Amino acid sequence: MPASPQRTGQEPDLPLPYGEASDFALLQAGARGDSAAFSEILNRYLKNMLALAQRFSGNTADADEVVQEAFLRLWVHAPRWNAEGGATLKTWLSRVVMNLCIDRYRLKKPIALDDAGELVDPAASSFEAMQLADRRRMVQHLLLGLPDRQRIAISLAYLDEMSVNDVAKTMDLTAGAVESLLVRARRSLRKRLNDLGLMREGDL
Amino acid sequence: MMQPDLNRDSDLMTWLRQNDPAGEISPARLANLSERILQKTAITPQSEATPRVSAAAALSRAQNASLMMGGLIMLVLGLFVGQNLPTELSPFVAPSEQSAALLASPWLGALK
Repeated sequence: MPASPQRTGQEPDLPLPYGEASDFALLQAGARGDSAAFSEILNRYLKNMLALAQRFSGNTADADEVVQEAFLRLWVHAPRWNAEGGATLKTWLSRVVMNLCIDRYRLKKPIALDDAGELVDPAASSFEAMQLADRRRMVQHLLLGLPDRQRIAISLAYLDEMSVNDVAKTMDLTAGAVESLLVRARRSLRKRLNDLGLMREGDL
Repeated sequence: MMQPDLNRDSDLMTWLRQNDPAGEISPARLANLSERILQKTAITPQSEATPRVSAAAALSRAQNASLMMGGLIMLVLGLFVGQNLPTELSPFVAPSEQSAALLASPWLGALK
């Protein structure tokens, strides 16, 4: 039985002594129950994974739950992590988040623009901030209207700025298949923007 | 700000990026979620690492298996031979009779 993790009392957003360590070294330390090493992994990837889940689900509570589950899976499987397996930690985590999202939202229908989640920053009050919040809601609505795999491909490739090869590894597809998904996703997004009357100059 | 031409792939990508619905995740939310995950890891057991079998241990196991198989074969052969020995071969029969019976048996006949 591995040693139970010891809490360090450090805040997750504070600099940690593990800042320079590789992901694999952190996982090895995490596998020995070192929660500070695991905290550094959270520092590195929590935001990206939360963004991926949020874009997919459209609401914060569900995204939080999915990401929590993904990192707990990483914690449980850390002792078995195989560095030679080929997957980087980011692609592995992205894949787990993606699969959890798909499982969770398989039966859900795309939601209406008015229900696309509250993305207004309560601290923002300026007109520009409100406009930005509106555009974000619209993008969320557009993403939710895409089929699952197109949504994930767009999210990883365009918003997370992953290379096509990394997206392919994450989605267990060929690079060509990812390119094809991106082409269809762009076409679908343009059609929806056009349907909403937003493709004309000055509408955005 | 210049109006993007969303018919161009690069403009569409930039526009999506600028209006990423997950673009602003507050530090407070991240810290809170991080804390919750760390609390859960404190009570969640990790899986056991896959045990690695050394070469010596693997060899020892193979040797044990060979010995067991050899013993099993000897036992089966012994039973087979025992069942086919002439009934006259008994410690209660005189040695001369025993030798005669043994020489008459099909087992030793083949050796003649």
